[in-house]
Amino acid sequence: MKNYFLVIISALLLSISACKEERGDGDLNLKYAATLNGGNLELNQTYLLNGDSVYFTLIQYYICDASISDKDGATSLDLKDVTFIDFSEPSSLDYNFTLDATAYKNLTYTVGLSDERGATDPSSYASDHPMSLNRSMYWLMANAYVYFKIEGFRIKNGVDEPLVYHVGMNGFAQNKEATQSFTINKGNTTSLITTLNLNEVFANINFDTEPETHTMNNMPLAQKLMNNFVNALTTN
Amino acid sequence: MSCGTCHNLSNGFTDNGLVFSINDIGAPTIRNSSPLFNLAWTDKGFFWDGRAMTLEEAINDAINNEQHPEWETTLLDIQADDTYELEFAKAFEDAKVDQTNVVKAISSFVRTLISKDSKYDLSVRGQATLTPLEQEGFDLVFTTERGDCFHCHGVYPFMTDNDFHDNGLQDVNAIAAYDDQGLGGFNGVSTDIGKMKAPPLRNLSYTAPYMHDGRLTTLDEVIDFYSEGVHATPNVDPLMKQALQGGVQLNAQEKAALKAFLLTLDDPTFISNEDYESPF
Repeated sequence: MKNYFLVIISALLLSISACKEERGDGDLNLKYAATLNGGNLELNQTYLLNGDSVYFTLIQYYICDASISDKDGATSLDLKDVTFIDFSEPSSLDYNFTLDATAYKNLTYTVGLSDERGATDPSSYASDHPMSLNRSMYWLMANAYVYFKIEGFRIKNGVDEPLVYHVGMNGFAQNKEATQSFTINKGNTTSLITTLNLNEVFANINFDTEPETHTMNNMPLAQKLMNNFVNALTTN
Repeated sequence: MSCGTCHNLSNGFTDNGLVFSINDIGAPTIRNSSPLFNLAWTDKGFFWDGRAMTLEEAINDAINNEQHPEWETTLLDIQADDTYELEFAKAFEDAKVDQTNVVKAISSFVRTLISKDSKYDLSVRGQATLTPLEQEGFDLVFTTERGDCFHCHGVYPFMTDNDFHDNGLQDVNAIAAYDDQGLGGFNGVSTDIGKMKAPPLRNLSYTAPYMHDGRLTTLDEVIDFYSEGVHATPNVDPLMKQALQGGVQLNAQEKAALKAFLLTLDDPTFISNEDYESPF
C-alpha cells in the first residue's frame, strides 16, 4: 500500500514538472511608437496638424510601474519600474521581457511618474537611470519631474514659431490600462506596441493661443494636454 | 606641450583667455578651449560638437588632432621621462606606458576635477545666503517667462543639460550658411547643424571668452546676446522661444541681477586647488 502511494506521488510530481517544462519561456516585446495623420511620426518632418504646418523636434515621456496580469486577472507581474521614452533614441523604444509561456492580459502602467517616485531626489540616481539628472526632466524650482516634453515649431507666414509643451509635477500622472489578452508562446516573441497619436495629443489645441506650457505657467493647458496625452496612448 | 598648455587651472582649465588655442605646429584650433570640470557626469558627448562619446575617446581625439599628429610621437615623449615610468609602475599592474594606460591615467585625473563649492552651491547647502540682487538673478535664470536660462543651463549641480542646442548665435538664414556646423557637422544630420554643446554656467569669471568660437569676450556681451542679439536661425532650438524678438529683452536691472547670480557660480576653491596644479 505504501509503495502504491509512493508511486502515485512520484507520478504526480513527474507530471507537474513535465507540464512546467512543456510551458517553458517566451518573450514579450514592448515597443513604443508615435503616429501623426495615420502614419509613423518622423521628427523634424513637416505635417499638417490642426490647420497648421508643424514639425516636432523632441518627444519624450515617462511611464512607470508597467505590469501585466495572468489571464484571470488574479496575479500581477511587474515588468519595469520606470521607462523613459525618447523618440530621438531608438534604444528607448524597444524592451524585451522573458516570461512563462502562458496567457496574460491587462498591460497597465502609469503615464508620468507616481507621486512617490516624483518626490524622489534626482541626484540620488545613477547617471544611466531614467530618472537621473542627465535626462533634463527635473524642475529645480518646483522640485518636480517633467512627465512629458513635446517641442517643435509651427510654420506661420514662412516663420518658424516655437511650440514647447513641458507637462508634469505631482498629481498629473494618470493610470492607463490596455485590457486585451495576449499569449506568450514557448520560444517565441509576442509584441505589443504602445502608440502615441499626436493628433489626439493636440486635439482641441490652438497653436495660436496655446503654443507653450511649462505646467506652472499654464495649468489648465497642461491639464488638458495631460488628459489628451493619456487618451492618445493605445496598445495593440 | 601637454593638456595643461591649453587647459589652465586658473582659467577653469580653459586657455588663458585665448579665443583659439595654438597647437603643437603653431596653428590655431577651430574652437574655443572648453573648461574641464564635472566631466564625470557627461553622457551625451564631449567637445562642442559631441564627436567623442566617452572621456577616453575625447582624450584620444585631442592628442591625435590638437597636439601631436600621431600617438607614437606622444608616447615616445612620455616613455622618455623616467618619472612616468615610475608612476605608471605604481598605478598599473602591467606597468606599461602605452596608449591605453596613458588615456586611463588622464581620464582618471580629469574625472577628479570637480567644482562644487561656489557661493551658489554653499547657499544650496545652507552655508551662504544670496544677496537680493543675486536672488533676483536666480529667479531670472529659472523663470520661463524671463531669462529662461535653466532649460539648457539649469540642471543643478552641473548648470548645463550637457545637450546640444542651436542658440541662435550664428547670423544665418539657411542651413548651408552656418560657418560652424557643430553637432550636425559630425553626425551628418541636417537638423543638428549649428548645434553646440551647452557649456556649464560655472566659473564664468575664469573661462572667458565665451561661445564655441570665443566671439563674446565678456559676460556682459553674453547677457546682451541672449537679451537682444539672438538670431532666428534655421535650427534654432524651440526653447529659444524669444528668438523671433531677438532675445529675452532684459532691462538694465535684470541684466545686472543675472550677472550677479552667474558670478555666484564661480568656485575659487576649484581654481586654487593644489591637487589640480601642475606638479612640474
